[in-house]
Amino acid sequence: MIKYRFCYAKFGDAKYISHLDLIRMFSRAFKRAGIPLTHSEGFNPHPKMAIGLPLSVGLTSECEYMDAELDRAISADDVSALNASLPMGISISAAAERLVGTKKLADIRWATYKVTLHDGAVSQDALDAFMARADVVVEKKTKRKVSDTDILPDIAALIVSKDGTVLTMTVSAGASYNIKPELVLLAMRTYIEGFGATNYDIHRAAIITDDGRNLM
Amino acid sequence: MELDAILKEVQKPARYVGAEFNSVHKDLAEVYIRFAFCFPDVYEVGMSHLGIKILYHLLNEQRDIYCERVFAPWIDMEEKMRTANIPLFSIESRTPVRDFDVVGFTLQYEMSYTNIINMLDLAGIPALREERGEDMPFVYAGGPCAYNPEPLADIMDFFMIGESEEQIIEVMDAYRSWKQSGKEKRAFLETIASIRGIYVPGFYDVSYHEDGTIADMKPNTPLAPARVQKQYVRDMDKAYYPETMIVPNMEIIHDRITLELFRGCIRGCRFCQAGMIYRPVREKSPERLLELAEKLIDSTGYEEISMSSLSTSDYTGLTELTEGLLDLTVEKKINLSLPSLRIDSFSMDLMQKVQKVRKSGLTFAPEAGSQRMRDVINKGVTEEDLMRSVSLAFAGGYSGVKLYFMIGLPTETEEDVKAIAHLAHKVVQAYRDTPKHLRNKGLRVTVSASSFVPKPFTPFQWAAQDDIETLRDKQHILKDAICDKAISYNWHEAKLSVLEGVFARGDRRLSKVLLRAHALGARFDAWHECFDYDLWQEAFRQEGIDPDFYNHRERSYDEILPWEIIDPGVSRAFLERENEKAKRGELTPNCRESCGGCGIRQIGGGGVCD
Repeated sequence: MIKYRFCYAKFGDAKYISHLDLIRMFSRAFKRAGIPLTHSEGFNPHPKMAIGLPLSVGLTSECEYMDAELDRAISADDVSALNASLPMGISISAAAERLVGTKKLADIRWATYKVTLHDGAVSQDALDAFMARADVVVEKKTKRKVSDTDILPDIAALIVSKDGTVLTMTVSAGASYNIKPELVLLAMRTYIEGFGATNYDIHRAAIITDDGRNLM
Repeated sequence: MELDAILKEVQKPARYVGAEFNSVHKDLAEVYIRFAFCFPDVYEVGMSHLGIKILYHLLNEQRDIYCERVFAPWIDMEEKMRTANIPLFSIESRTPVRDFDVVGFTLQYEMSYTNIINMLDLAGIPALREERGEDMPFVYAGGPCAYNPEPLADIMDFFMIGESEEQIIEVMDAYRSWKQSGKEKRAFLETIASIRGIYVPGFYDVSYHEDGTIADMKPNTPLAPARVQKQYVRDMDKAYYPETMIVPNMEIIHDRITLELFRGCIRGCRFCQAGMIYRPVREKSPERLLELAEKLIDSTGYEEISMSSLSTSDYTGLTELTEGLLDLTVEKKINLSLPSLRIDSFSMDLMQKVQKVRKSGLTFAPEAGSQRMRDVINKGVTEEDLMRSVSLAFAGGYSGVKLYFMIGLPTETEEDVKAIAHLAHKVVQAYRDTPKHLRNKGLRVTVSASSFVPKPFTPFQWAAQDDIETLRDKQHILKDAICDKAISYNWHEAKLSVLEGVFARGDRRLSKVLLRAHALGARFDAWHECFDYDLWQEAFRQEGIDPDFYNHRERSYDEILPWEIIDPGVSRAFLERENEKAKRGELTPNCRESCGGCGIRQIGGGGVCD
């Protein structure tokens, strides 16, 4: 059994594949490519795979991470075969063995999103004023409850393109505490006067660990 | 893009985008015939259907034909499409359905008919064939319910009766020639009317007696046959079967490889339409099946393969096949599932072999509770058979058993209904009698009782269906007779079964009721959250049609039945004979024990029984 990490992109129509369906899809793709996934022991064996940070349905990404345990070592040809076995809109960009010292998926701390606004714009000055606020309180839903939360500490960076329509934001991310980019947009609608964009595309551009690196 | 904005707001957007592995994408510039394969239900139901898998790949192997899929958008999607004026589109290339050449619907159950009308409406295609001009696609239907095409006679340009893989290419060839000729649409219909299995409803006139029964059905053109003979596959090993299947990006109902072992059924249960219309019995060889299984496993990556046919345990090569499949599935780490086993031929051996891979619940279909009732329906199964099977199952470690029954069968009495509960209690007792060290904990016995709906081309096609009140009374009798916590009881909505009965044996006067019901808001009638019986009553009332005429009277042998314009190969004499035997509670042996003379051997083209 060898532990691998894969980096893949999710784009086009594949953005509508849900997190659970994605795991099943990968498991089938490995089978089609003839790459043997290691299965758990027990009565109903399942492949040992994990996806780093779930991506909401409708979002695209260039940097998703998946860990999988394989029964044998794989070559570049295997990765090509795997790419040929994936549905349109999913492609593997890197694969590497997970050696001792490799960051764990649980070490994910930040994610960077690119948001393309279709029905609104905002200036960098307005964003700077937003970031200079004492707090940014919004209603945040967690698994258990809905509560008013100050998300300002969760926004590491918030910049906009010159024309004011493409936002780049780096926000808290991870399995235990996660800020959705939609929540930042909600906060912007609440606190930035004249900003009301509700039609946008969101793309995940990076997933970053607690020491500021990516996961490969 | 507008569609994209909508997809972000609907449930399960993966239903509408396609892009699945093994889906077919063609250069539209190199395609001459655009074929829209429409399934009148949601994606996850439609994609579970075997016929779509076969015909999709068969058509797409033709270079100049592009077959794309269309499903009924769920109500949330429909609402948004209507608001945004997005017409119904194919999921591969997102082409509006009205821009296709041929729009084909598969008819799997009667209660999907309003979805057909709704899909045509969403596509901007007039539902009535007479209102579709020369610029509109041909709209046709096939599938098992097409054996009574009449309720959709005003809607469809034509029907394909029988097994489409044997006729669809011929029809497409005719279409290609017609398209090149530039002739008007009628010319195409005239050409295909002579292809076996093609029924063009516009080429037939129906007249009625004063009591509403049919006086005559006859062609109004010499180009149409007096009766339309079904088309069927002669040699299953040589018949087209795809070596790959689309692997959906979302979970569907039957999310696994379907391996079709054979068509037809040797049993001859008198309520079962499939057992009659799919005659003769034709098997694939174990060699061919194992070859297909391996190719399908490799090309799909599925984790489960299921053997499919009407009565899997009647497959003559079952031992050889399961052994081969077990080798294959163990090696490739996938599951093998065995559906619809008959309890009389169920063996401990087979059960244990499958158990090696995975142990799931077992399903048995005694269909009726009393021996008398089982004899009436020709279900040649005894209580001892069932008890032996469930005891073996319990001793083998199974603790979940599902039992399928029907209520409302012809001649059924209160005692017959109560016998269902008695049988379930005996199954519980069989569990308690199993030594504790052998059985597993957590006994679950599920009694599922559907309501019998008489179907065309069965020995019960003349029978009166129970009305709603009677069915409900019987459901209550059964519910009250079950008194054990280990037994759970499921039943079906009686109103839905009665409505299904109307359309199953309806005639062409019902087309306008379908249109009316749709106009009043009916669609997804098979989905309880959408079904509205009052709306249907209103539709019948507005069209001046009495639904009871179609299902609550026993028909006489003298009557011309609307579906008799179709010849399924099984003779009327046989069906009458079987109906009389049913009344006497007499059994008919299965086809391998002795030939019952159903008529399929006389069918043109050579009916051969395996």
